Amino acid sequence: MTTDPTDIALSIKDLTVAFDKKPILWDIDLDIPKGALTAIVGPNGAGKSTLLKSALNIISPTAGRVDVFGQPIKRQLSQIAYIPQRNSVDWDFPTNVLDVVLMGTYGDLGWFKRPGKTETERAFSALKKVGMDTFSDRQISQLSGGQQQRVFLARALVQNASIYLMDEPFVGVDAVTETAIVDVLKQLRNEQKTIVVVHHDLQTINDYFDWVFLLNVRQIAFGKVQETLTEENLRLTYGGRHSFITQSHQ
Amino acid sequence: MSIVIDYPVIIALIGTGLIGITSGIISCYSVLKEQSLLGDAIAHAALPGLCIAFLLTLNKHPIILLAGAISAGLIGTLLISTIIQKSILKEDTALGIILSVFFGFGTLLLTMIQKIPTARQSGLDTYLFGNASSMLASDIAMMGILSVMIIAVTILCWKEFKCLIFDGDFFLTQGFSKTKSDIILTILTVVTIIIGLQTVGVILMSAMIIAPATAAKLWQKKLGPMMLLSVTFAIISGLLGVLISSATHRLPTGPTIVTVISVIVIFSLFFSPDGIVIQWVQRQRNKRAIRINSILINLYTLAKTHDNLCHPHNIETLKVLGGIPPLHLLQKLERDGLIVHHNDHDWGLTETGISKAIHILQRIH
Repeated sequence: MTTDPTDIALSIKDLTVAFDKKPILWDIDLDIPKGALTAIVGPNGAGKSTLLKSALNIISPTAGRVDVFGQPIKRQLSQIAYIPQRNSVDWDFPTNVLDVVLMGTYGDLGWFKRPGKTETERAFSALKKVGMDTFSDRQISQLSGGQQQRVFLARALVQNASIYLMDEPFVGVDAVTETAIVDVLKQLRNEQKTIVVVHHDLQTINDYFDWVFLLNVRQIAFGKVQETLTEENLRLTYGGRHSFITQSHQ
Repeated sequence: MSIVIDYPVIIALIGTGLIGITSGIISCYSVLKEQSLLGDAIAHAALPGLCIAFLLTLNKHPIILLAGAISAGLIGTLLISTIIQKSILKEDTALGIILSVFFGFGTLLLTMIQKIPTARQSGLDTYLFGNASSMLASDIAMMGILSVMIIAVTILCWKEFKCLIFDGDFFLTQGFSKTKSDIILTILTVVTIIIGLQTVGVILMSAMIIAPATAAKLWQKKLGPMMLLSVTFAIISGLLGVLISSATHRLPTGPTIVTVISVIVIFSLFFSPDGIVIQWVQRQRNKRAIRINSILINLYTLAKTHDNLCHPHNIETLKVLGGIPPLHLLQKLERDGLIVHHNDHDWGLTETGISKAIHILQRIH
């Protein structure tokens, strides 16, 4: 694991989240390296999404601190692009693709200022990167699941952030979209960006990611994929579902 | 029934026009936030505020009454969000509790006020169902100022409100305060409801927060045009409501306005592009197109076994391929030059029909 602090993009210390008295996340310490693709993996209810949300303060953590490049996250929000789960929003909302992507420029604009020509150009170039530039005036309710996910990715790309936090981007998308998203992620890594993805599919971790964080309320393991994604660690993460683990790990 | 446009009616028309603008705007946000029932609770919660303001001052000036109503509405909203956050009760329960407790208490106070001899003529009971003819020029001035305020904040916070409602978590990560924007939007909602109370009434004001945007959303697919249409619907129903109720003796304004907006909603539900009728027509058209395509494909499948692809077949043969097609569809295909019939029962593809069938098959596979 890397120790040089300048190589750490996102540092999470003693993070605990509890609803009532039930812990959702318990004492998480995690230093996410810069310029790499990191997967957060764990069973349902392990707190994967909560980890992203509490790191961003969307959910207030019970305890813990989160630093971005050595500074408290509150002052570093512009460095981070968040891509929530696709089904967390109402796709029936009366708006079009371009409008949604433009939302990625709102942070730069601040209160009251409207997006102008520069912002629209930025939005179009982001749409181009995900192959959706011809859909700019499409009503969002008419998009397929994969297209919705690519619009969300474009909205994040517009922000020109250093860190990308993605919540289950591959759920319910077609193979074409999955490849397109992975290509964009690898491109981002080549530009020394940091990408953290909540991921479900154990079989693709080896192909897509450099680092993996195994989580089940408490942290199980963190490290390079080859060294960390062991059968023993997976058993610790997923409990006794051996057959499933051996199968998917092969 | 005869329509007389005199001074009080003109005042009432201007007043309901202003209510139309504000409720048309705010209803878009309420409907998209899926919080239309909050409006209902706020409107009902305003009643005890009106009564207490009157009892404290023994003055029925609308500004005093509305100040009481706004306070009660805000207290009600605050209680609702506190109940949701601090207790295990869900939103609908919280809304139900506040609505009934406040409205029940308000009705109690209203009955008491009616029993005070000097207050009997206060006209406070008109706030239940609304009475546009009780409006004065000074009320219009106040409503005008509040409406301008609501419009200005909406224009100023256009992108903020849009992003907040579409994706609140993302809005937060853009460095905006969700709480602040929520509070601003709630205050706008409360003010909109309160300035409508005099005309539309406590009981039915929520309809003006739900109906205009519900109808507009069926026609428009972008927030800006949807809001303009919502405002238009609200203004039309306000003006028509006032005209109808002023032409008919002692008809309260609120129910009249709400009846008009309900007609607009029902019409939209049936005849808008997303409406029941249009969707039904579309489905029938699709069904017909599929049946026509399958006739061509079936005839082509049958003819493929022969050297001549135009080889006619007895239409009864199609029974095994999903049923005999109705005569009117066959005749339509013949009119389009895709098939020909040789005697009463034998039908075959034309050259154009063959290429069309091949084209359809290529599109499917």
